[in-house]
Amino acid sequence: MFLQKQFWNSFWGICILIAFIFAVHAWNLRLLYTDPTVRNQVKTSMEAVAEREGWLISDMPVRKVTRDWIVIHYRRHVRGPDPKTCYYIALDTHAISPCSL
Amino acid sequence: MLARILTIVGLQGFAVLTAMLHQHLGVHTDEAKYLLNIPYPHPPLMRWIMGLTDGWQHQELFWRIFFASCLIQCVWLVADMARNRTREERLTLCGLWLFTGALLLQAGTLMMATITAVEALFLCWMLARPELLRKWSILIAALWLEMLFVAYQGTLFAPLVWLALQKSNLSFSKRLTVFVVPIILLALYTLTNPLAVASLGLVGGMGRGADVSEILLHTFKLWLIGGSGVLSILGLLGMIRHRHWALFGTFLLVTIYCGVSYREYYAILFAPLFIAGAALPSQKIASPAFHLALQMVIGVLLFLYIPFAPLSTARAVRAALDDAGIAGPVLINGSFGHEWQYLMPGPVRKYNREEVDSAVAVICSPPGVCVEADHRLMDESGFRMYPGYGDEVWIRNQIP
Repeated sequence: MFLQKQFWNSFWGICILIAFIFAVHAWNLRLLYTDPTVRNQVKTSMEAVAEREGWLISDMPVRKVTRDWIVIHYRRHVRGPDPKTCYYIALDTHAISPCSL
Repeated sequence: MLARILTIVGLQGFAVLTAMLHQHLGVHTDEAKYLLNIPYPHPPLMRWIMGLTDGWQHQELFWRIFFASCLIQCVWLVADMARNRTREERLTLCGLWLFTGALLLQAGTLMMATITAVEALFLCWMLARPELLRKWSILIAALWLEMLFVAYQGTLFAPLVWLALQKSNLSFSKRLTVFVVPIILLALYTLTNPLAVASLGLVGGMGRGADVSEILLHTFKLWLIGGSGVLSILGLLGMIRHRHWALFGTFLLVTIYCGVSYREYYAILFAPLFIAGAALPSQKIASPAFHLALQMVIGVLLFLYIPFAPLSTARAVRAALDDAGIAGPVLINGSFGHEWQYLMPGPVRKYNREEVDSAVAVICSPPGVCVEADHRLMDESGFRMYPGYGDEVWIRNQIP
C-alpha cells in the first residue's frame, strides 16, 4: 500500500513537472498561435534562413517568438557530439546572430 | 523449465535474425529521425532515449534487436492471455502472433508503431488480468502517459485504457483525471513543437487524392497484413461475439487512422487487437492446427511478396567516402531523407554553389536537378561523378 502511494506520488510529480516545462515553452511560442501575421513572418524567416545557410528546418526548433525576432536552437543532428547553438533571427531582415552576443 | 529457456533463446534468435535483416536493408528516413532524436513528428520520450545512444558504434543494431525482442518476446503475454485455454489452443494463439504478416515484416524496424503495438498488447494483457488491474492501477496510469509520449497513435487505444481504468479500484474522479491529464500534457507538448503540428497535418493528408476504393483497398491490405488473414478474422469475430466494444471501438479507430494516414507500417497496430479478440474466452478455435498452418503459409507469403522500402543511396555514398578516406560536409541538391544525416561522416547541408569547395560530396536527387553550370563547377572543383547510383553522385577526387 505504501509502495503504491509512492508510485502515485511519483506519477503526479512527473505530470506536474511535464506540465510546467511545456507550459513555459508554449507560453514563449504563444504568438505563433494567436497572431497569424507573426506566424507567417516566422515561417518566411525560417525558410529564408534555411535556404541561405543550407540548414534543414527540422534542425532549427523555435524556442521563443516575439513580434521582432525569434530564438532557435540549431543542431546539425549528426552522430556523436552535436552541440546546440542558439541564434536570434530578425523577422524583418532574416539576419541571424548568436544569442551570446 | 529447460523447454522454457530454450524457447526464450529460440525466440531471441528469431528477433536477432529479423534485426539483422533490417540492418542489412539499411536505415530509412523515419528510423534515422528517431535514432538522431530529430524533433518531429512524434512526442519525445522514445526518440530522446534512442538519441542518447547516437554515439554508440552499433546503435542501429542495438535498437533493432531491442525493438524486435520486445515484439517477439511478447508471445509470453499472448500465452498468459490464453492461460485458461487448452495447451493446443494456447500454442496456436502464440503461433498466430508470431506468424502475423506485420510482425514478420516489421520486427527489426525502428518504427514507433512497433513500440505502440507492444504497449497495446501489454494493455490487452492487463485487461485479461483483472486482479492485477485492481491492485496495480498505477500501471495503467503510467502506461497511458508513456504510450502518449512515445507516439501520437497511442491515443487510438483510449477506449481500452478507459476500460482498464473502469476495472481498477480508482474512484470515478480519479479515473477521469488519470485519463484526461496525459491527453492535456500531450496537447501542451504539441503546442511547443510547431514542426509536429505541421507534420500532423501532413500525415492527415497522406491519403488525399486517393479515391474511396483505393483507401478501402489500402485499409483492407493493412487489415490482412495485421493478422495474416486468419488472425484478422478470428480476432474480429472474437471482439463481436464477446461484445467487447472497447476492443471493437479501438479497432475502428485504428482502421480509420490507417485509411487516413495511408502508411503500410501501421498494419502492426492491428495485431494486438486481433490477438486480444482471438484470446477472448468465447472465441474458440476449431481445428487449431489447420488455422496455424494457414496462418504460417499466409504470413510467409506476405513476407516474401510485400516489397521492403527501397535502399537509399546514402549507404553506398558512405562506403565510397570511406574507401576514398575523406570526411566532411555533404551537399544535397533536391529532396532527401534523414538517413543522409545518420550515415554521412560529416554534416549534411542543402546544396549551395558557394559551398561546393568545402564539400566532400555533392548529391543531385533526383538526377537532373543539377544543371550544366553545376556539372561544370564540380568538374572544376575536383569532383568526379560516380555512375550506377539511383541519384547523381559527385565525390571529391583525392588524386589531382
